[in-house]
Amino acid sequence: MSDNAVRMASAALATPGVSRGLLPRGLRVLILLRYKATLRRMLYGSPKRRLFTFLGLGMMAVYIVPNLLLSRKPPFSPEGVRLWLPLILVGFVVLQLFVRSRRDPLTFSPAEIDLVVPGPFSRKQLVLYQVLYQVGPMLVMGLWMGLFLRAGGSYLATAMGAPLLLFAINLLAGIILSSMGILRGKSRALVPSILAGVVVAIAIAVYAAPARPQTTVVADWMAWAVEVRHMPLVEALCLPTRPYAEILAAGGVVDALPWVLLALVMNAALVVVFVMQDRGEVEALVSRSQAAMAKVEKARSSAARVGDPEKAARLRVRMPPRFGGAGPLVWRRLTILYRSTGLVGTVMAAVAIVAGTFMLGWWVPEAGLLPLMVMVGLVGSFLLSLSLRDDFRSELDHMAMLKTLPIRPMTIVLAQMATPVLVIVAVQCLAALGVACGAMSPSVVLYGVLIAIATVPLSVMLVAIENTVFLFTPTRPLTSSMQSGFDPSAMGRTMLVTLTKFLTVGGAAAVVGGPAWGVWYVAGIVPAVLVGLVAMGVLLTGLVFACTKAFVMFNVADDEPG
Amino acid sequence: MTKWLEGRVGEAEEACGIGGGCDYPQCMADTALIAATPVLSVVNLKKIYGDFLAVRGLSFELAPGQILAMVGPNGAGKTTTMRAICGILTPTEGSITLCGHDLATDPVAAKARLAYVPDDPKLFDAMTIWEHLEFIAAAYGVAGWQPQAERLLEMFELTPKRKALAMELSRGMRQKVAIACAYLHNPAIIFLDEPLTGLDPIGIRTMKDSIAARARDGAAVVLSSHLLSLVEDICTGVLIMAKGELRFSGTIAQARETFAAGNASATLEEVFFSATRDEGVNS
Repeated sequence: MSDNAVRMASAALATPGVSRGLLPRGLRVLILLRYKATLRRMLYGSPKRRLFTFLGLGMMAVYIVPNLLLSRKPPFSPEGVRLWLPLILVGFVVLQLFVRSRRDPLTFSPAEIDLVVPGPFSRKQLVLYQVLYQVGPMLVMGLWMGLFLRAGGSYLATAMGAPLLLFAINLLAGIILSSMGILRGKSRALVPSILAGVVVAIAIAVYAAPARPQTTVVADWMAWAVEVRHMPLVEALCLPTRPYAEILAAGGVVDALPWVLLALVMNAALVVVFVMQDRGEVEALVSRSQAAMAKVEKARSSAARVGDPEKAARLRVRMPPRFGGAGPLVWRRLTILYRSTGLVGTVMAAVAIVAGTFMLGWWVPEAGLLPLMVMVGLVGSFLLSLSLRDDFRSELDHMAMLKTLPIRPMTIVLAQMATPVLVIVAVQCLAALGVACGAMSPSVVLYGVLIAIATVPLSVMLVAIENTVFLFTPTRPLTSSMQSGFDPSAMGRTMLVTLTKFLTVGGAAAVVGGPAWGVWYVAGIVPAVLVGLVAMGVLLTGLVFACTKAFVMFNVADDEPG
Repeated sequence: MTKWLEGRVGEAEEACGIGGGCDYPQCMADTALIAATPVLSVVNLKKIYGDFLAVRGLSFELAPGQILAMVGPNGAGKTTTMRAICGILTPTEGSITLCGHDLATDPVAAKARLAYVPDDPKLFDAMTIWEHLEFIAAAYGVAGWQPQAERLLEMFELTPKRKALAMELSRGMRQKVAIACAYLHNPAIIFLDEPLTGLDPIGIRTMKDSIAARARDGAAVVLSSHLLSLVEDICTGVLIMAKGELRFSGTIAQARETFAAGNASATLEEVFFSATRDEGVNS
């Protein structure tokens, strides 16, 4: 074979079907397949997932259908919306720049990084693919966000405007961040630049603004604000966001249509600018996506947030007695929590709780302190049981290990639930200390501690419900921002957990309070307390049994990210 | 000798009255009988996922000191079987007895005698290697565990890293930590799912030696591996599975007899392919 023939043969081997065109067929097919997969996952997943999807969609329908069918009086005057909304949106874009500097406009999933990025596609094609893939989820999200962004009277118009607005903000943020080199990690000048821009804008506005009114009459100040809004500089600043504001303010689809068309053209122009910029973002985004994905993977394990491993390793918790195996399990969870928060973080959290509640104690009159502390106790139990996930909820990767331990399932369940309950009690006691210091009344500490102890059954109940539902329907953190944008099954699950909590707490109040009240009426306070305690004990035991059953039934093989 | 086996032999010696080393034929027979008593007995194990039958009526026994290899193509049901025996999955049907304790009725006692190392062990990122061993010792109630833990760290070359958090470890090191944790409480049965994954050549050698040493001390070892050379090197028995079915259970020589017409030079790979063909023979 001649050298020329060899060269030709190698050239043919080296370029296997390079994809040309704006968006190659492969990427178009992939977009469609991914949409199909999302739908399939939603509709044909496990029975539990289908149930949650049904509940989530049902909840959406309950909100959306009345908005579609019934006309609603606009909450604000259309003139006011047209005047102020563009400026508010400018502020929103600036805010988004701060947010987006930490959250990328585009993210690549691990499968995309492994299979699509190394494929025969140019950087522009990859960016366009990602941008277009976002269109579908944005449209669905618009239906939801339309409920909250509606400033005018038409839900449909807002539902059209909301995705266009979100899409434009995403692209605009991407373009600005990219042109500043932020996406490629070449510059960290975003915050100083934005702050400088805001200072300059305010300075110009102050210099050029009409004279401020010298009165305290609100109407005078409003008139002055309208004058400022009509200044050429502010008008120019609001020009890009005006079409979106007009859509949100429109009284009907027909009114909104011209602005929708204009917004579509603007969005298309933004897509073209973003794709044509091509400043090496893809490679940077891939590596940032990988880093973000690694963080998500870590968040799935029980020890995701450890900063400096060497420093963290020095933080120790004393091993308690074995207690049938519960001791080591609680020790393990507390160690992980302590190291995740760190010594400084723990101290700062404690100081923040004391300082925050100190203000409350200082402000609230003495007569209102007790109700306030009861409220703090109850709300604390509700919120912390939801947010503290240092139990089964962060053990998905360790369930196999937990199941092989020679420890009774109920002991494992109690040990797993102990950490969040202990932390909730500690937080409530600190809150009581803060209130007492603020009110300058030592006796308030005693009340607070008593309330913290009295709310333990409530905390146990809520943590048990969270864990039982989790064990029956385990979920993992989602891996992509677009996925997390709309997930009816997650919405349905949240709805079910919240409903279960309220029903259980309401039922518990009836089960415990009813007989106790009856006994109090007949026999006095002491027997009533005893009856109440027994009823509460029975109820809590039942919940712990339910959680144990869920743990025993938990199927390691069935666990799928949710 | 594992604690469980030691206990059983001790009981027999106590019944004899003379103590260890009695050469009375009945005592020798008792000790031999104990050594041959299965530590693991699986009867008609079935596991169904929805409509999919992952394991179809699997039965086998394992005596102390045996090293059993579970081999089979992907999806054969090896990991499901291991997970069911270790109490991670509930079997749909069948019974599992570990050291005389039924897993269904006496799970805590049964699980106290086993150790399981999965193919991709998940450690606690925020805990040090030493703390993993401390936790296992506390969870399994191992008294005076520190010298044994030191030895295990030394054996797996983890001593310099004992204070390192798990999040800093490589894949191979995490595997070694999981194995050290499994050995710490001196289990009577050890289940190893793909034990050589991620290990360096020295680690592989150490691992093979440690498996053999554990078996010599009376532990039964069940390992699942696609590395047939490992099976040939250290295993005393082989259990071939395909599509959830038991295709063969016996010694490697018996496998050659059955699937390679007694050809002693036939490789285990040839035996494996022959056994896992769809028309494979049930043992």
